[in-house]
Amino acid sequence: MSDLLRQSAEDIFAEELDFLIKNEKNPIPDGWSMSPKSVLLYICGGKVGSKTISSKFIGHKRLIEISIATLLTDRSLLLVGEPGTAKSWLSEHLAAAISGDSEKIIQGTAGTTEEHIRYSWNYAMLIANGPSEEALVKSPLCKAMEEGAILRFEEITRCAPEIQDALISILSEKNLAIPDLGKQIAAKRGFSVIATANTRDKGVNDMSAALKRRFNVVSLPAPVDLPTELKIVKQRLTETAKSLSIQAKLPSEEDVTKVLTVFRELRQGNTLDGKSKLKIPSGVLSTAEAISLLTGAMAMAGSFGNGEVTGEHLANGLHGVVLKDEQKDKVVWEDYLEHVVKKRGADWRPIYEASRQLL
Amino acid sequence: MNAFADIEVIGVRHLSPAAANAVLGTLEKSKPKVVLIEGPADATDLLKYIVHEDVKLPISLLAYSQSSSRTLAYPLVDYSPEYVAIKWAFENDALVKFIDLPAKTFLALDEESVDLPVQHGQRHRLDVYKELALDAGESSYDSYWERNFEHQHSSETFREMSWGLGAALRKLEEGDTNFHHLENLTRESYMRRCIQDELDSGVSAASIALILGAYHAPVIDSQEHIMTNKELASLPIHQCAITLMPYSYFRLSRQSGYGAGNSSPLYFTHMWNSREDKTTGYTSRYISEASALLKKKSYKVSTAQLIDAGQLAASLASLKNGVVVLEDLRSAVQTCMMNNVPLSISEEIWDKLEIGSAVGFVPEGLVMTSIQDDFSRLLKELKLARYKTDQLTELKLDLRENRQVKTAKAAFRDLERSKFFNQLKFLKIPFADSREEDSSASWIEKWFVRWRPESEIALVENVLWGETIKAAVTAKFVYEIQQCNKLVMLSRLLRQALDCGFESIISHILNKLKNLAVSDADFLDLSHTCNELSYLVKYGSIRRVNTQACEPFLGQLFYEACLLLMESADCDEKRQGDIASGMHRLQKISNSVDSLVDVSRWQKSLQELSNATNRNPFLSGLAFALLLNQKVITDEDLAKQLQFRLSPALASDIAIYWFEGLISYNAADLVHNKFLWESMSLYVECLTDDEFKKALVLFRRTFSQFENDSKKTITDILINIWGLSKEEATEFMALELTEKESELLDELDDLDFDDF
Repeated sequence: MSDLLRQSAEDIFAEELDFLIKNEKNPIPDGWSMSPKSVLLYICGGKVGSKTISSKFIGHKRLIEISIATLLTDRSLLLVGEPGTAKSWLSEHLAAAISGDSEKIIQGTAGTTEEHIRYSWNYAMLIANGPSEEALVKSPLCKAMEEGAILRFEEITRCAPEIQDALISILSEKNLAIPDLGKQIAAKRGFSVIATANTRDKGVNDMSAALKRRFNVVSLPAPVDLPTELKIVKQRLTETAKSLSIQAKLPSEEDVTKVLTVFRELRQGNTLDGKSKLKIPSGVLSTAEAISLLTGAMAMAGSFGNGEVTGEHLANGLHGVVLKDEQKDKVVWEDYLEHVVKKRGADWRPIYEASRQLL
Repeated sequence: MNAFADIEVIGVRHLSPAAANAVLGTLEKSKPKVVLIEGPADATDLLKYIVHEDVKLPISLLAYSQSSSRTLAYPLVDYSPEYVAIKWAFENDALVKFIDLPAKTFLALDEESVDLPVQHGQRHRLDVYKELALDAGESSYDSYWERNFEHQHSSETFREMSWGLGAALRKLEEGDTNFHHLENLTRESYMRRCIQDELDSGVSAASIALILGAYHAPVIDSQEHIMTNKELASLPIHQCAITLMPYSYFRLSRQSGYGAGNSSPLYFTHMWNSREDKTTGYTSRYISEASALLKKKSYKVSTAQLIDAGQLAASLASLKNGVVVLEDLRSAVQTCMMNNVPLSISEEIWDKLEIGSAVGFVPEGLVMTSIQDDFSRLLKELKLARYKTDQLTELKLDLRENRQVKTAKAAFRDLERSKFFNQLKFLKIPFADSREEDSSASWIEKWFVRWRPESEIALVENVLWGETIKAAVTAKFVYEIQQCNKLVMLSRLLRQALDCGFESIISHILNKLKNLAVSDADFLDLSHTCNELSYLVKYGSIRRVNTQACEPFLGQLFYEACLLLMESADCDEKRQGDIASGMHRLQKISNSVDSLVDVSRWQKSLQELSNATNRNPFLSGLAFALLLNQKVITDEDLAKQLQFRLSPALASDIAIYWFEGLISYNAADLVHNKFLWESMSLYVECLTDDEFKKALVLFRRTFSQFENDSKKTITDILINIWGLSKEEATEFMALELTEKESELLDELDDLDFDDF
């Protein structure tokens, strides 16, 4: 096993990708490593002959079809959604399948400058010998254009709007001008951009209409119902536990269901049977957080317990996730504990008791 | 040897433009003398009306009987292969017949009444289609069909493919013994019999063309079972009538079953209309139309977005077999053009774009149901024929006797019209609507009249209730009365019965009322019912309906309501509003029909409630106000009550709720009562600081209910009581709030009663 904390998708699933490429029967678009149908298969899962391809994305297949179809045209793809809805995850896997390389990333922050997006210079060389090819430090965008690969632009809306707009011309013209060298980098076939953006958060800027127009926007929803979310969480738990070598058993399905029930109810603002209304906490309570909560519980059980996840471990996790804003969330959580959890009977007791102790 | 081998068999899907095209192509080439179509055999006589020059599609055959819950609708649109075949036959002097089981048998073939061997794990018929689609990677059968069949141009290829599809579907269902499968087998044997009959009458097989569902096409073989005479005689029959009615695309999009619907009729209509036009593709048309609709809703859409949508649709289709279908177009338009459009608007746009609002037309007198006949007759009689247009017209009706006309009939024409309109409303036939007006006079009614194509459809559908309007209304009333198990619902029916002028129904309802009233003892329900009964009593005469029978009921139920007042006043804040309305209602009745109800018992109940200390204080206050209003309280009593209710011994919120109840009824009178404000002022002075804070919040709410001039009067009185001069007071009020005061007021906003 590698000593990297998190391997890239094309490394983890190298076997599946190779298999799909070797057994490709459909035409492959220029610059792509496999046909669109194979990309769809890789992401949604299925059988090819005797081999089963695991499902990477559990949700509406249609959204994946639209995403792949977008990348086939000369449009770029913008994945939006609330935090924790698998946008970056999908972006990574699309890039891994289409270009075989998910590591051409620009990570958007408030401090991203145009140089991160376009190119910058090795200033020592620049001053010594003047502008030259060697002095140019190419951004991932340049590399993607030169190689005809997918560029991933994460959290694009966290960049300042003026900086985001640097992309406008590039995306229409599909070439990057370098006036200092008097040349242009034209994009090879297979180049496209997959951007991700959050909808709800502090620090998220607006996107100009001109830039938005260059993208096809696909909105990823939170998992539609409990069984879907359960499937996602279970799968991710198994994968994460393996890669982090956690010395604990996977939590039981009942425990995972309990955690997800809490998440869904607080997210919606009412109990699952629709009978009682609930206050909504300030945090998002996304699926990703549920996964990390359960992974954390497993880590706790493995390191400090006997390897089995108990109600106490879950309560610790819940406490940490739900109470983001001390004052307001405390009221919400207490209310929920007293009026919902307490009344749910014996198997919720451990969680109730442990949570009460923490308050 | 297969005697049917030379017959031109065309397997189709109902409502498919490609199928219609294949039919047209085949008929043109082979020019048959006889055209046989899969449709109810007993509707063959109506075929000539379908192609009548004044008939406008979409229309539907409707088989119905008043005694069966099953009806049969067989819609026909421009791109129905069946319609195309019928039209061709009439234009080319060919004989055309329907050869499926007669409608009267279909209606009788009730799933429950048929003796069938039941097997577990039976697939429902529609799942076979879904299975087929999912296997092919499509999300629905519609997409599967469109992608593989619709954009096929040659008739021969279509026929081959549909034959193959039919055979594949048959294979999947082989051995099923569920109802639908056996029904199919019966139909097929019947159809073979009809074909055999044609051959026996001397027509050659080669001069026959047969249009039927693709599923049935593979078994049109004389060597398969042909229905025997005995079997024919044993077919169940349920007498019914068959008519032709106008239909709408809206209904088509929601239908399922025999002659099954089509969820996007407008989309396919366009496809059919532009089949000759090779220049504008259906994809460009769809996308441009979507853009036009968005622009109408003020959403900016640039041309580039349209181009992108087209590319995305093609791209999506390339993930399958390259043929763009409706689903791809919709996804493309949604992604590229409708980013910031809210869900409700986008739903509207899909409806306009894909379903459309087409409504058909069948000229009067052509094929009419009895109820349509009756309707026309009534329109003439009531001289309303000229209002049967799509123009909205206002009509004022005077329900009184018109003394200036000659005949008795004419004298009460407006009243009859009002009854007629109400009957149509009851049957949910959209024609006339009235608005609730604060009646300028009880004998004036204002109606808004408009006849829409959909109205005709609603009219025809009511034939299931009865042959005439009167019969339909009666039957529906009887049904609704039977379904009623709550007093409130019954009382609503009472009013409707009065408005429709059905005296006999009223006595019917009163009978049921007798039985319900005893067990259904709820104060609110009783108050609603009394309200409706008093309406009947008051307006019976103007509507010339004898409502005397209602009077004893009114008295009895009113009395019962009085008895329940105390019990229902034991409620919390959430319910007090409803109970208060109930009390208002009963008071109104007590005021207006005092001869029929026990007013003194009502007052007794009110006294009880107003003196009670363990009931909802708001309601106690309200009870007191009602008594005040009836002038049965002396000034002394008023003083006593005020002192009692506003004493510091009681919790302040109880006191103020009582006060709120008091001023909720006819506050204007109380506002001027100086004594009231003196007591109030004394009370407030006795409160502690905490209690005052609590009280302040409640006061805020209470006082906000006063009108502005009342507020002024109160202020004046209070100024007087507190011995201030007007100038001092005005000065004080005009001062800006100090910071501390603003803070305190803000704190009040955050005050939560749960803190106490």
